[in-house]
Amino acid sequence: MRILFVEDERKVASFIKKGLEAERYAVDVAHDGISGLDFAESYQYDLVILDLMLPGMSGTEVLRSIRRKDANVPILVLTARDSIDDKVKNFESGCDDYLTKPFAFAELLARVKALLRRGAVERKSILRAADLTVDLNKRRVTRAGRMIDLTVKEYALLEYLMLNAGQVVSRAMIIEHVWDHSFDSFTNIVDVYIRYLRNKIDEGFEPKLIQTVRGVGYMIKAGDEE
Amino acid sequence: MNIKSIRFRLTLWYGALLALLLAAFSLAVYWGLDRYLRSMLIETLAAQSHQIGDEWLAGIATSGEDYLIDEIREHVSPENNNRFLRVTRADGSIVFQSDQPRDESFNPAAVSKVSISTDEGMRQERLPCGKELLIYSLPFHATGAGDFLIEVGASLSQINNTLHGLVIIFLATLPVAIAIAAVGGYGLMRRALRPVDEITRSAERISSLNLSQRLPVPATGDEIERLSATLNRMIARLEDSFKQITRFTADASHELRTPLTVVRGELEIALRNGQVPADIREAIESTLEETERLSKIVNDLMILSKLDSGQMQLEKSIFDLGELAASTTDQLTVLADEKQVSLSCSLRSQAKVEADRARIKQVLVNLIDNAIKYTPAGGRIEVSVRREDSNAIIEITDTGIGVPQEELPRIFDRFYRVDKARSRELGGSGLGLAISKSICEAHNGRIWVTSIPGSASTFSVELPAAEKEVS
Repeated sequence: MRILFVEDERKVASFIKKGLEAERYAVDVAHDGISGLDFAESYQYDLVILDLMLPGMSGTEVLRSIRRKDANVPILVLTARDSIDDKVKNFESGCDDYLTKPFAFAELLARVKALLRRGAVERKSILRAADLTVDLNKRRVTRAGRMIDLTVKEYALLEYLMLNAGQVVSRAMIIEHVWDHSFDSFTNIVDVYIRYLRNKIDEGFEPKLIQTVRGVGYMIKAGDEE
Repeated sequence: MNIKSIRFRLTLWYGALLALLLAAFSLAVYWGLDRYLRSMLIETLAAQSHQIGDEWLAGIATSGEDYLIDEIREHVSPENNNRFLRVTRADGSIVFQSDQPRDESFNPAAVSKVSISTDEGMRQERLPCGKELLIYSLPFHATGAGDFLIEVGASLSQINNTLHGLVIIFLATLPVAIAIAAVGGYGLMRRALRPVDEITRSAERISSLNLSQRLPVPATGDEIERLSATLNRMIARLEDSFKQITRFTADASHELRTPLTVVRGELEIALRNGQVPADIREAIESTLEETERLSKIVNDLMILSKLDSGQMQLEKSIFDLGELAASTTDQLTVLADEKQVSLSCSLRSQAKVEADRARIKQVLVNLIDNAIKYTPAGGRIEVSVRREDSNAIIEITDTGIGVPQEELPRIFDRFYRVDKARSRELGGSGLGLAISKSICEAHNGRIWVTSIPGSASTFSVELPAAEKEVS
């Protein structure tokens, strides 16, 4: 998988390149809009990550130009702006997802994976991690063959963790997907629900599936990889 | 009527001053008239005494006493003119004494006898009946007949009657005049001070959200114009410093974003490397926690600066505040259960508002979350929604630790923490209440708190209702 990253802040570019390469992606970095567009026109990329604040040529212009040439490549926009107006404008110009600085690398990675997965693989209807199964259609959860009763919120949380199995998801990501933005404050509601979920799916079972990644978020171990 | 208003006080002073002046004027008129009437009377009495002496008493040796008496009766006629008249010989015997005057104002017989050697002049005598007489005495030497004393007097009651009438006129007219002047003065004052009222009203409307507005400046060239212009210059300076603060907050939070992203990302990626020694891992994790917190603070600051500068776009829709409060309370019940605090919501009436639902929810989450954090186990939190006049009001009452009275006014300030150590331990950016306040104000609403330290606090949010109350 080849990713183009257009970012003028060299340090941001460097750690993201490092992080993405550790995840076995090939990453090309361009430091301004014009060279970014050159890269995009010269090679076939699976994904473009684009900072909007660029010298030379504005990110929005780069976005429009890439979109004119290639209607399909997924584009993830990074920006320090987060007004609704900006978001709407960029979605209209053809970006597929949106991330506001400062962000957690885990969140960027999750979004990158989601964008790359999109359309490529057909969604599995049953997710597995070790002996835990989540049936997305029937909304049924079992562990070691035993049915587990979950509340609506607990299920939504588990489903989100399972869809991102093997990846760390931050509290902000969980809140955005399971609750809504109004909760993006300092409530510890995520931690409370994680504990409820642990009591139901990890208590009395081995291995413990829900892991806390301190300072970043939570993760369910991907069963398949073990 | 506000008895402390400038208008009232000026009218009072003005009225009192006028009353004092009029009283002094009345006294002067009274005194002057009294003096004038007395001197006129004395002049008349003296003239009559001299007439009697010179014309009739001087020749008494030849013309005889009867002639004198006849002449007096004929020309002076004291009874008809309400005068007292007495002519006494040197031995004290009386040549002539007038009878009772026609108006019966005094009894001539009661007038005391005086020595014949009295000097020429005036005396005032009070009769046993209480009447006062002015009597002019004139010692007179008639050639060939010896010494006489002529006394001519008149009652003071006439002068007193005139003065009495004057007093009645004063008493009747002065209060009316003062009252008219006061009412007129009050009206004039009102007119003169109306521009001040207008300035007050306009100034009331100016808050941190519309500092670009100015007061009307009447082109009158007077003190009011100067006041208005001065206030406007002050508002301009306020606006400047407000803008600077907002710009600074926006710039600072903006500038912090990229370095924060780098710090956070580098640490996260370092952590992904499995070979990090445990103690360094611990340090990185702890740092990451703080970076996350810092990110939230930066985000909150950004939101605040947008709300302050009016750049925050509110996505308004009409919804029932009660329904929002109920669903939010529902979602937060787990947090209350965790702390063994009871959380309930009561809706007293429908309260539709036109507002940004997500932002108002943010306020509710913030206030309820705070209430949970600061209420000890076993406590109670109640959320209630009601309509009051044209407003919808949410109240969040807890049985928590309360807020000390002296902290109340500052609790909505940025980064203000009542109990520093405790609130930092509970997390939070220190900006939650400031954001809540800004959101309420952006909706033309209000937020306030009342508290009984140590036992309870109530946070209230008031938003303008979307429609008229259906009765």
